[in-house]
Amino acid sequence: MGKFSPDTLPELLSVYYRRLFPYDAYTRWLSYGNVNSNTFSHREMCFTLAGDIYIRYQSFDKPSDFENELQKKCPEKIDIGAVYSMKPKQKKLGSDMEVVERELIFDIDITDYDSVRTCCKDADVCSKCWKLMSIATKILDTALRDDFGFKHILWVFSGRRGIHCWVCDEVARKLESNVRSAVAEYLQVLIREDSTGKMVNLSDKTHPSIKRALEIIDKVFVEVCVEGQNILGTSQGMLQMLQMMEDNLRKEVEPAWEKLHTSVDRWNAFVGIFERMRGELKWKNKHLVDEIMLQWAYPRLDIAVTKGANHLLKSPFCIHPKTGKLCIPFNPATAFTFDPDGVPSINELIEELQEFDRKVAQEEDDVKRKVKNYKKTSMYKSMQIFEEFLRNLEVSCRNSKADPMEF
Amino acid sequence: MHLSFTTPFFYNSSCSCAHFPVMDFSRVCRRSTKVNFEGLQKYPHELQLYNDFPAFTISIGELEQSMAERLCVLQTLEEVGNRGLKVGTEDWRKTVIEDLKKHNLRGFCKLLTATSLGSDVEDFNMRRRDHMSHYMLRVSYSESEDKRRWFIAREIELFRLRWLYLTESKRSEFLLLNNIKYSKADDREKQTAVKLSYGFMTVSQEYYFIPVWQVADLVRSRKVFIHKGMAYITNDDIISVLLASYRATLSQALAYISRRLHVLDDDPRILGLVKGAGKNTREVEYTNFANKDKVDIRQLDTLAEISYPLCMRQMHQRLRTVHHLKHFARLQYGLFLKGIGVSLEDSLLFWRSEFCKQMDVEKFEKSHSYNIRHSYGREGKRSNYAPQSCMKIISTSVSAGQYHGCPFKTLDSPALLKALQGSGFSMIAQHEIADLAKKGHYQLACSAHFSHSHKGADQVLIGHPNHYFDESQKILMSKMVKKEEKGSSTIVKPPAEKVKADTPKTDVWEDMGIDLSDVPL
Ligand code: SF4
Ligand SMILES: [Zn+2]
Repeated sequence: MGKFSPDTLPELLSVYYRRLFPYDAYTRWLSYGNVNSNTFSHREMCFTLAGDIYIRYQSFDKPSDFENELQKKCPEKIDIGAVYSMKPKQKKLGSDMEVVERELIFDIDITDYDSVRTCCKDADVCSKCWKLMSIATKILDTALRDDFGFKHILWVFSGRRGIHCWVCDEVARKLESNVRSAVAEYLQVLIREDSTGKMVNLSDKTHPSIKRALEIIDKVFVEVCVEGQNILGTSQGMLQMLQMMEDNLRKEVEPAWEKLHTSVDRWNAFVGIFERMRGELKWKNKHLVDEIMLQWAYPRLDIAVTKGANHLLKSPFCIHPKTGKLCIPFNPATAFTFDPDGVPSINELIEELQEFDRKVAQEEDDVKRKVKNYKKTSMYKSMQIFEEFLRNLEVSCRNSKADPMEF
Repeated sequence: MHLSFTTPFFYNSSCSCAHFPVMDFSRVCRRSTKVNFEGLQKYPHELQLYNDFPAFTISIGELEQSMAERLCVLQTLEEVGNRGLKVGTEDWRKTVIEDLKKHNLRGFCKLLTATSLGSDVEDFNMRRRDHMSHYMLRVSYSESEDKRRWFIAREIELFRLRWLYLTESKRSEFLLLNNIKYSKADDREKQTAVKLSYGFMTVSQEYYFIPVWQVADLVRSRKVFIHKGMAYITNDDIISVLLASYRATLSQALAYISRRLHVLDDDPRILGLVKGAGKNTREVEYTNFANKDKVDIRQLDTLAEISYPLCMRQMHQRLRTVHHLKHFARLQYGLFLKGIGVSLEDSLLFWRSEFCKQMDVEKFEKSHSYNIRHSYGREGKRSNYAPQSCMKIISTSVSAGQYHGCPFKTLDSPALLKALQGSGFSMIAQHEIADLAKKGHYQLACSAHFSHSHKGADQVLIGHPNHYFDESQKILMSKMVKKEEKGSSTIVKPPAEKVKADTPKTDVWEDMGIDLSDVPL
């Protein structure tokens, strides 16, 4: 199959929006069981056209309007905004349009891991640094479900360097802004580096959510960070960690490291020395191993996105204009084995579609029509994930319609 | 005096629907001592949630007075907060009460500290004034998003303060009276939770279940264990829950009022009352002119380097480089100069020499010298303008290309760090200052700037740029004296040649023993 080239994007997009974009499931999602008819029609959508032209404050009275507009405009990117108190397209200067609903969203960007990853730089993600993202997914997903009790969580790979998380439970959509920011801050454990380069300082009474995160990290830390990212394989990496140590610890660790050669050996030596000396360490270093694990592997959230209810977030099922890759849902439970390289790009999808058409050309036309187009392509698997998410969501929307007191 | 105020207006939060009570000012009491003392049942507790609309008669005078007093309380809370005292700490509550005493708010002091005023009548009146003034200020502060946010934040602090002064039994009484019940975790639930929480919770404590949405602040700071949307909170944390629901009610009520403000247009007297509140925001006055006419303008460059706060230093540097300052900067800097003791004549000379590097003398005389004389009270109304306080400076708006205002507020972190570069502070110090500024603690940032510029000096809290200057001079002066005593020949950079008369302590910033270690960093 050919490689994606951005020049061909406009052409490919027009086919994609005509034949592949999952309008039905997508608009059902944004209608939330039609409990409230405004949920869909008051939603802000933002299109980005070729040449970075943004069209904000668009809204669509009904799903078919959305479909028509999408096919007409063929945007390079679609962003989803909040649901407002009025139709965003009718927004006039000075009119006060208030946010009435917004999914609780999280944005994790691989570039925020640059100080702890060695495999890639900038916007690239390989299977090694994806592992960091998968740890983030696991920790966040568990916290959202177990701590907050959320059930309808959609995880999306953005097509290039990030992952997005959409929490769609009714309570989540209706969170007040101060609660929204509280949730965001609860989940933000890493803060700006202090003078020794540490981003987290634990106390003796570590919060359960952090302990649980540590358990998750601990299982894969050596594989993903120590080995995968070779964090102690370079002098720079060693220096970064040595800086966090108080003198008497450093005095033991440094010579030990010099004698060893691999990242794994050095890590094990360090943990050994740390355990032995633990009793003598000052509070700043008492929890150093845990703190390092958190700093290297705890989710790095862009919490401004979570806090601001009117923040736009890139929509699932759009195409990344640079890589041509599809922005698709993935299953958080199997995130560890998800391969970002294996995400289909638009040209592949369209080739698959044409291939299918050729194969069944002989058969009756209505056979062809019965099969949904995306089922003919490798989009299929992530569509199943999306459909399942949607099924559960619609069940609970129906229930809350029947029993509005549930929340 | 007859006033009737019969508009559908207040949102009664105790019932789920909007409620249109009638506020009746028509029966005005001359003195409201003739209260019916079954009345105290109406306010059975010092603390209230203001759920009910105040339906009684009160004189306009008393109303006005109590509004002013409450406003003073709220402003004091803000000031104390600005000084960096962490809300809820022992220091914080003591400072607030001490400051209120300075403002002669005996009634409020007693009320806030849950102490009786001595008789039922007085207690009743005070509680009523509390009730009334709260409602009136709701109206005053409902107008804009900014005001609403300010008012809610202050009222929340106030409530917290009062809660802290309640005894354990008073607290339970309050919960009972307000019909607030939380379900307790039974032993089995507790055991599961202790296990789930990795021992974060203990079996010996009592816990209540509260939905996490009601305890946002406890969740934010990871103070409580949460599971499936429920927070397990202890008795001590109940205040957070109360505050969260109080906040929600208040913000709803204020939003409701704001949409109906126009109904006030028909009643000029109420409108006047409501609009008047908050106009005369209190400021730190700088009136210490005892040592005028002592600073030589030839020393200004040196002084700018050693004794100016950052705001003034920036304007000074700007003036020296481009030989011009815009209007507000001229005013802010000009008054500061007056305050440090630059005479009118010198001031004219100083501005003229700079400005005339890029305009002719005639134009300067025409457009600027009047203003300078005016600011010294020699023209126009002849009022002697006082140098602007930090609060004033911090609250003025500053747009791009303007150099007045407080740099800790107007500059973003990178710009601020750049401005601090030449200061000779360590990187850590620079970041510490920038961090404080970023968190909105502008005056604390300025105080830190002061400490780093004056090594070894006592902690000084900056409330006024001239105060910064005076303190700095005092320190440099004493250093010089010490060196002279020791007979050393080292020359300390010369402070201004003024001899500070031993003036009585005029400003309130002077002797606050504030512990900065409580500041959340
Ligand atoms: S805090 Fe006051 S003195 Fe300090 S820079 Fe700001 S305005 Fe000037
Ligand atoms: Zn990589």
